[in-house]
Amino acid sequence: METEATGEPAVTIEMSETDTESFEDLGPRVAFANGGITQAEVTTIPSVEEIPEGTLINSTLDPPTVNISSASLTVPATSGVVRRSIDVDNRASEATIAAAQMVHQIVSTGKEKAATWVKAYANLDNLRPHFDVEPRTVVNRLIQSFVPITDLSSPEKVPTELYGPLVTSLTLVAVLQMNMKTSNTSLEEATLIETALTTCFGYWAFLTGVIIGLSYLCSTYINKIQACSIAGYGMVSHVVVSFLAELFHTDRTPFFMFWFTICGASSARMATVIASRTVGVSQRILASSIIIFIHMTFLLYLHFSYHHILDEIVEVVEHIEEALDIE
Amino acid sequence: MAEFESTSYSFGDLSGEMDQPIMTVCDDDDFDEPVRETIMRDLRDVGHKFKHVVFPLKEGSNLLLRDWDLWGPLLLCMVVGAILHEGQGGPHFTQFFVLFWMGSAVVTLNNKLLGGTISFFQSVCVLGYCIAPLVGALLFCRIVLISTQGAFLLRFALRFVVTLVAFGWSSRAAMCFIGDTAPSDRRFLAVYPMVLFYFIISWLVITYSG
Repeated sequence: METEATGEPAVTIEMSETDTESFEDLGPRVAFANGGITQAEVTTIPSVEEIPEGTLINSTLDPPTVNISSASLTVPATSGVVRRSIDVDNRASEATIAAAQMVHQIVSTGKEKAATWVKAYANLDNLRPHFDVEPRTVVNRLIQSFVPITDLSSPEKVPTELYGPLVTSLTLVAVLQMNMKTSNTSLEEATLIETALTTCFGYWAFLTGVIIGLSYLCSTYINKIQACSIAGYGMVSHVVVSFLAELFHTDRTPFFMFWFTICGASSARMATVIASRTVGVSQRILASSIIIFIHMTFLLYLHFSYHHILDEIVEVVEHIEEALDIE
Repeated sequence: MAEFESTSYSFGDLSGEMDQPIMTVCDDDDFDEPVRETIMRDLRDVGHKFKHVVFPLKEGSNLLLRDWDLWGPLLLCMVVGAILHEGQGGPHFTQFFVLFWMGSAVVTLNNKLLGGTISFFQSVCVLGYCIAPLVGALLFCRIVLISTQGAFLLRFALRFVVTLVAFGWSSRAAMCFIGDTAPSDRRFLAVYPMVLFYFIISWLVITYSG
């Protein structure tokens, strides 16, 4: 590059457009890297486009300045002397700019992804179609969640509705809370409501994940919302059995009876629905057995972890019975 | 220079007032009123809303939804949490606090998903004010547990009946306010989580053993 007037080569240190943009974004960090020059100082010093030939480089003089507003990085030569090594400075600047570019790119990509995720999943309008349901339909689905299907030749329809599962989970939270209160359960580092919420919603998410995983493994035709719906309606049995166990809490026998019949029916319903949408006998058996095992085991966990039979409760019941006999 | 001095310039009428214009003070401006009056006025508003909850009428639903505030719910939440905290067991205050605000959030979210026209804080305000009957029941239970000795069955029956009535009262009051904001064909779906919310609080009240 030569100047038009003199024809002498210009010693201009130019940087790419992207480098300069990142440099601008850095702001104070660039000033720090260049010897502590603040942004205010940098902007007041005019830029110099060229360095004349024969410029002496001396590191003891003032540090080079950068005009942030211009599109190129230049080295001042106001007195014809540059006080610091340009090579060392350039290397440091390039490293800083590259790091800044990378950080900027990561941050901007992260922001875009987060915005896309929020727009896709955290928008209530996207969830509204899954809550568009009639009360009668919900009641029918609640009842049907205990009825296993017999014809596995054709795939069973699975709703993509989430109102029933959400309300079922909330009801299970309430019943579990009742169980814990009645059993006088004490937790060391958590409250009962937190534990109940985490347990119920955690199980819902876990069972949904298991169904989705099995659908990949066993080639089951089911999407995520349908898996969520099946898992949620399956928890109705847990609500019913936990509530009945609360009423008949003086003995374990009623609980095992309810567990086997009610929870078994619900598990069979889930397993048969999954099996009807799965191709292949061995895959059907694998998916069904895993779901039944997990579903029935979780109810045992709920009962034996949070529903203790207290001697005090037995005494209170006996006390009430005695009082009624006396009357 | 003489020509300049002799030249007359006509600017028209530029005369005006140097004084600041006097601002008309609005009647409802509370900048100049004493703090005591401001507090009393807010308390009167809160009390007025409590009256609408205790005697739920259709005409009063607009007041609670339009002029919502969170003072009443916070006050009731603190009272219930403090009383429950005296009982046996874990951190009841924290438990009730989490239950109250998370429950309100879930009920409101459900209402919004069902196509309800109520905003988040309006719903929280209504749900909070509507636990007033249950707070009354809790205070009654506290008095019963302190005052009467023995007669376990009678005490329990008394507490059970009062809590049951308070539960129905709270649910009905909340239905008057929030029920209409949900679509008519899905009113039951909007009401169920709300009733469940009050049921859990009622359970906490009935199991309170002093």
